[in-house]
Amino acid sequence: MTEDQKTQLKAQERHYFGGTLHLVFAWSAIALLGSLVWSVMDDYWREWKGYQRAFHDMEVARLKDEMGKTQQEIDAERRATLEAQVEEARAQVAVQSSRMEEIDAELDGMANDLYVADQNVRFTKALLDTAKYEYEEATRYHPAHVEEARAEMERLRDLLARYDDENKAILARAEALRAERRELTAQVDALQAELKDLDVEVLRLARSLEQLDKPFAHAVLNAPVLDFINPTLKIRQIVTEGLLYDINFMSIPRVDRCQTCHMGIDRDEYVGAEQPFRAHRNLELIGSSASPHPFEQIGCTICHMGRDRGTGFVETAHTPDGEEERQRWEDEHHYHRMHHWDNPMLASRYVEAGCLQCHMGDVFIPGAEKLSRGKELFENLGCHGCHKVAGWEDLRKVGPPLDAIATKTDPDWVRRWLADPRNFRPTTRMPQFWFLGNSSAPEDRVRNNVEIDGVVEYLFAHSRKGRYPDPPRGDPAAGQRLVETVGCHGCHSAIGTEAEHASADGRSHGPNLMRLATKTYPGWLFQWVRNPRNYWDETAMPDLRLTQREAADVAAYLGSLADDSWRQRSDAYFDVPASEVEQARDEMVLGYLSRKQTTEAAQTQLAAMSERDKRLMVGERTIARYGCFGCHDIPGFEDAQRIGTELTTQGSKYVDRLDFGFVDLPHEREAWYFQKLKDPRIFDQGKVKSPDEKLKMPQFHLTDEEAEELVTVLMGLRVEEVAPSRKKQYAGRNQALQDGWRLVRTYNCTGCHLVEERGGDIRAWIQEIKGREGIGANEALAFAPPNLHTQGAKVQSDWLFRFLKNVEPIRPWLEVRMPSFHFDDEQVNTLTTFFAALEEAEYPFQDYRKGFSLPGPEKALAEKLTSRDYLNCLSCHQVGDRKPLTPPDSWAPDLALARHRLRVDWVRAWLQDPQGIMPGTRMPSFFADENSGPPDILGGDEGAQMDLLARWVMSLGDGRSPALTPLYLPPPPVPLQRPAPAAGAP
Amino acid sequence: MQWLKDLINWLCQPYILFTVAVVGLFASVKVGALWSRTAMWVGGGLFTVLFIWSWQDPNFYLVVSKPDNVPITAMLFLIPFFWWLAMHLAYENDRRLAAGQEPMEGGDGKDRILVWPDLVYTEMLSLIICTVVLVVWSIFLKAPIEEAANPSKSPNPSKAPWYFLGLQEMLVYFDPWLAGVVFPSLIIVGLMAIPYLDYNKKGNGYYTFKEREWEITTFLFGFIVLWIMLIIYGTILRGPNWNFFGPYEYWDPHKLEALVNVNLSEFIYVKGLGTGLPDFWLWREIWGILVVLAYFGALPPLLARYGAFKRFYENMGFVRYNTLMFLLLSMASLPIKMYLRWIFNLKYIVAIPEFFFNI
Repeated sequence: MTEDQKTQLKAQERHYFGGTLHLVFAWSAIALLGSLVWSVMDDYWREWKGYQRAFHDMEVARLKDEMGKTQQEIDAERRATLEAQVEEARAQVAVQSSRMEEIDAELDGMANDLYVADQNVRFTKALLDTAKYEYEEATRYHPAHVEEARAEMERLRDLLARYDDENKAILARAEALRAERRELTAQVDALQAELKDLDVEVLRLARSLEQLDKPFAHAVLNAPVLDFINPTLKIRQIVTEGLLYDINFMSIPRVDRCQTCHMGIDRDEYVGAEQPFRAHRNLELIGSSASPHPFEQIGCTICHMGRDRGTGFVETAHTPDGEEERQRWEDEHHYHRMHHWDNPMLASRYVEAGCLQCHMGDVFIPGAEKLSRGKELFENLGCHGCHKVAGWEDLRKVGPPLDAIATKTDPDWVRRWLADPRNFRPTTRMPQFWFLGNSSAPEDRVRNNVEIDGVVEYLFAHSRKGRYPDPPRGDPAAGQRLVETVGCHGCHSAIGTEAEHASADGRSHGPNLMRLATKTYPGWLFQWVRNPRNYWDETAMPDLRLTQREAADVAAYLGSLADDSWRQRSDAYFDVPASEVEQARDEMVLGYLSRKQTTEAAQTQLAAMSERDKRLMVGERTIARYGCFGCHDIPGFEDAQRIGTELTTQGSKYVDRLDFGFVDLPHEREAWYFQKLKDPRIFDQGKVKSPDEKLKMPQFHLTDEEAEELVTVLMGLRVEEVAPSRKKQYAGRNQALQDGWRLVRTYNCTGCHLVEERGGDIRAWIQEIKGREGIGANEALAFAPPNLHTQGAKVQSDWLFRFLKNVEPIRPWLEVRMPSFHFDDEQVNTLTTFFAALEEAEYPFQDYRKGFSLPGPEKALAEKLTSRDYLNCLSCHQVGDRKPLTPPDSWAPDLALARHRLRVDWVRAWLQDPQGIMPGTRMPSFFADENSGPPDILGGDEGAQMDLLARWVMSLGDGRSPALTPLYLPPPPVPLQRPAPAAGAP
Repeated sequence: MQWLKDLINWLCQPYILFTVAVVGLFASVKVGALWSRTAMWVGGGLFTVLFIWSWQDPNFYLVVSKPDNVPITAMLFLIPFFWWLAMHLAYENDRRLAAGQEPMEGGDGKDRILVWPDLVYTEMLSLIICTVVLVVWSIFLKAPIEEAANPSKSPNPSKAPWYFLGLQEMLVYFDPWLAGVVFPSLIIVGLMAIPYLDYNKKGNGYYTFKEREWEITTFLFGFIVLWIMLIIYGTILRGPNWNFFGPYEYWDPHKLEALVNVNLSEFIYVKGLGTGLPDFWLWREIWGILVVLAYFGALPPLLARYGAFKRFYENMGFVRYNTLMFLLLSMASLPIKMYLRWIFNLKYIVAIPEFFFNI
C-alpha cells in the first residue's frame, strides 16, 4: 500500500464524520435522556395525582384533628383513676410474684413436651391412615400379605392411643397452670380492658391514621417509575352493571372514574368541602350505600353524563353552569369544551335531567323538583300534541274540542283570540301563532289576517250550529256568593278583577274567568256550569251539582264579568286594508292550486271559487300546517298525525343536527333548546324562506324558569342506556301510585285537598273569605276541604269507591262542595287503589260486613265515656238524626257514617293523635299522654279506653250500606235552537 | 390587512391555485436564481412571517393547530426546504459540471463510502433525534382521539388520514374505483417501473438538474403538485361537505355548492343533437368510450412522431414506450379532468351507473 492510498483511505473514513457530529451526538443523547425523564415526570405530575395527594393530606389532618378532639372528650379524671387502679392491682400481683415465676418456669419447660406430643399424634395418625390403605389393598389383591398388613395396622392403632393419652395429659397440665395464672392477674386484666374501652375511638382513629400517615413508605410506592408496582395513588373506578355506554355497534358498561378526583363524594365529613372533594348533596337519597342510589352500583355518569373513563378536568367533559363559572374554570383548569364528545356533563342547572331515564313513569320525582315541574309543564302545555314522546303518546288533548264552537262564542272573538290569546287572558296556556318574530313584517301581517280569517271560517263552518236557550234570570250577587264559596277557586285561581288577573301565578289549573261575558253566550254558560260534560265529555271541570236556580245565578254572575277593553287593544292586529287581505288570499289560494297545475289553469280555478271557498281552503291548510288538532278536536282532522319532531331521544340528539342558523349561541344542546323555547321562531332570523317554509312552533311566552324546566325534561329524554332491570320498576304499588297521581293531577284534586302535603290551593282563598267574616286564619281552615292525609288507612276502600261514584256530604258545616266527577269504574278504582297504596293499607277490601256490636256493659261504659261528663262527643258530632245543639257550622262528621266509612284501626289512631294526622283539625286530643284519659273508667287505661271508643264508634248507625244507586243525576243535554237570523255570523 | 386575506382566499380557489402551482412548478425549476441561499432565506423568511401573521386569524389557527394537522403544518416548511436543498445542490453541480469540474459528491470515494462510520453513525443520530421529537410531541399533544364511531353520524368533513388526502381530493373528480383503486395502484406500479423505463444513465450518485431535466420535472409535477399539494389542499382548504374554504374563512357546515355537473353524453345528445339521451347505455356512452380509447390508444403513436417522445420511442422500443405513455397519460388525466370540470362542469366522460362504471 502506498502512502497515497493510505491518505485516501483516511480521507474516506472521514467522509461525513467529524468533530461536529460528535457534538451533535452528545447533545442529542442528552436531549433523549431529558425527554425520557420528562415523559416519566409528565405522568408523575398528572392532575388527578395532585388531587389525591391533596386529599390524602386533608384526610390525615382531619384524622389528627378528630383524634385530638376525641382525646379531649375522654373523661381525664376517670382515666387517671383507672390507671391508678391498674397500678394498684399490679402491685398486688407482684406480692405473689414467686408463684407466678414458678408457673411461668414450668410452662416454659413444658413447651418442648407439648410440641413433641402433638407431633407424635399427628404423624402416627398419618401413618395409621396409610397402614389402613395397605391393609385394604392387600385384602383384595395380595392375600399373602394380609396378616402382615393387619399387624402393622394394629400396632399403629395402639401407638396412636398411647400418644393421644400422653398428649391429653400434658395439655391438661398446661391448661391448669394457665388458669391459675389468669386467676392471679384477673383484676389487672379487667381494669386494662376497661381502660381500652375508654380509648376505643381514639384507637380506631389511630389505626386509620397509621394506615394513612406513612410519608416515607408512600413516597417510595408513589415514586416515578416505581409507581407501577403498588402505588397508593391510583385510579378509582366503578364498573356499572346494566348502565351502559352506547358505542353505536354495541353497548358496554360504563367505567366511572370520577372518584379518582372526587374522593370525598360519598363521605359525610366532606359536606361543603372545596371541590373536587365535596360530598354529594343529599347523600341519603343519592350516594350512600344505604340510599336507593348507591354510588358503588350506579356510578356517576349515567345521571350526570360526561366522559366516564376520563381522568382530567377537560377530558371528563365537565360543563360549566353559566358564563361566570366558565371564566373561572378557564383560569383554574384551562377549561375548554371537549369537542369530540357527544354527551358532555349536564350543567348543574339541568342536572335533574339525569333522573328521567329511570323515573319516566313518576308523576312527581322525589328530590327532582325542577324536572317534576318540567314534566307537568310539558303535559299542561300540550307539547305532546305536536311532538311524539314514547311514554306520553296517550295523554289527553289539552284544549277543548272545537266541534261546537259556534254554540259557545262568536267568530270575532275567535279571530281576536287567535291573534293574541294573552291579550284576552294573560295566563292562558294557549300559545301565540301569529305576529311573532318571523311573521311581523308588513306583508306577513296581511298574510296573518288571511290565515286567521281562514281558520275562523273553517272552524265555524265545521261546528255544530245553533244556540242554547237563554238561561232563566239569575241573581248575580247570589251567583258571586256561590262562586266564592262552592269551590270554584280550587281550580280557577282568579275569577274577579283585572288586578287579580294580573297577579294570578302563572298557569293555574282552570282559566281566569275575567271577561268571560265578552266570550261566551249566556245560554252556553248556563249549560256549561250545570253539567260541563254535556259540552265536552273529557273535560276536567267537574259537576258541582248546581240546581237550576244556582246555575242561573252563577251564569248571571259570570255573565256580568264583561270588560271589552281588550278588543280595542287587539284592533291593531287587523289594521290592514281589506283589499290587500283579499289580494293576499287570492295569491295564497293560487299558490295552493298551482302546486300541481300550471298557473293559468290555477287562475281559472281560482276565478270560479267563492270568497267562502277560498277562506275555507286557507283555513284547512293553515290548521294542517300549525297542527291545531294537536290540542283541540277539530272536525276533519280526526286522523291527522302530529306535526312536530319526535322528542323521545331529544336529549341525545347530536348538536350538529340542530340548526343554529345565524343566531349567535354556544353550540350546545341546552343553549339551543332554551333559545327555541324562549323564542321558537328565532332561528329563521336572516334566512330567506317562503311563508310555508318558516318555523311554525308557537310562542308560549315562557319565563326563564319554565324554559329551564322544560330543557331539563328534554335533556332527560335520552337513548336507552339503562338496562330495563335497573330502572325503577312500575308494578303493583308503584304503578298504582303513579296512575293515581296522574288522575289526581288531571282532575286537580289537590286544588282543594292536601294529598301528601301537596296542593290545598283553595285554603288561602277560604282564609281570605272567612277573614272577611272576622274568622282567624287557623279557624278558617276548618272550613276548607279535608286534608286527605292517611285517607287510604282511614276509609274503607269499598266506601271510597261508592263515595266517588256517588258523592254525599259528610261535613255539614262546609259550604265548599265535593263535586261529582262522574268517574267511570276504572278511574274510581285507580283512586281507591292509589289511596290504599299511599298508606300501604290493605286493599281492596276488609270485611266489615259483620260490623261491630258492643255487648251491653261495654256499651254502657262507652256511653258513659262519651257523655257530657266526660268527653262530650255528641256536643259536636252528629249521630244519625241526633244532632248537636250548637249551630251547624261547628258540627263534626256524623258518627253513624263511621260504620261503613272508616277503618277501626285508623279510628283508634285518630283518637290518640288527631293533630298529628290532620294538623288544624277541631277534634280535641283527649289522649295526648298517659294520664289524659279519665281515671275512673277502665281503671284509667288510655289504651283500653281508645279501643272501646273505636269499637263504639264503629257500632253506631243502622248498619245499612249506603246506596249504590245515584243520589244525583246530572242534567241531560239540552237541544240547540236555531239562531235568530240577526245573530248570525258577522 | 383584510385585503391580503381576501386576496389569499381568492388565490386559493382550486382552479387558480392549481394553475398557479402547475405554471409555477414548470417555470421555477428553470430559474437557477430561485435555488440560491439568498432566495431560500428571503422566501423562507417571507413565508414564515406570513404564516405567523396568519396564525393570528382564528379560522386559520383552528385548522392549523388541530393535533391531526401538525404533520401537514410541518410539511408546509419541510417539503419546500428539502426541495430547495435538492435543487440547490443540483444547480451547484450543474455549475461545476459546466466548468469541467467533478460534482461535489465525486470528490472522494467515487462511488462508495464505508458503512461505519458514515452510514451507521448518521442513521443512529437520526434515530435519536426522531425519538426525542416524537416523545416531546406526544407529551405536548394528546392523541387526537374522537368519540366512538357512529354509522349514522359520520364526521363532517370526513377526512382520510393525512397521507391519503391527495387520493381523497381525486375523489372530487373521479369515481371511487378510479381514484381509490386504480390510481393508487398505478402510482405504485409506476414508481416500481421507473428503473426499467429510465434509460438516462446520468445523474447517478450526485445531484443534477440539467442532465435529468425531463425526469425531475415530471417527477416533481407528480409529487409536489399532484400529491403534496393535494394533501395540503385537502387538509387546510377543504371543510365541511368537502367544500372549499379559503385559509381565513369560517368552516360553515351550511355552505351550499350548487351541483350542476353534467356528463359528456348530455353535452352531445341533449345540448348538441337535441335528441334526448338514448335508453341503451352503449349508445348513450359510446362517444365517451371512444374518447377514452382514443386518449390511451391513439395519442401514444401520434406523439411518438414529435420531439422528446420521438426520442423516447427510439430509445425505449415499443413496449417500454407504450408502458411509459400509459402511465404518463394516466397521470395527466387528473389535471385534464380537473380542468374539464372547472371549465365545462363535466361530471363524467363515461357514465354507466348501470354497472357502477364511471370515468
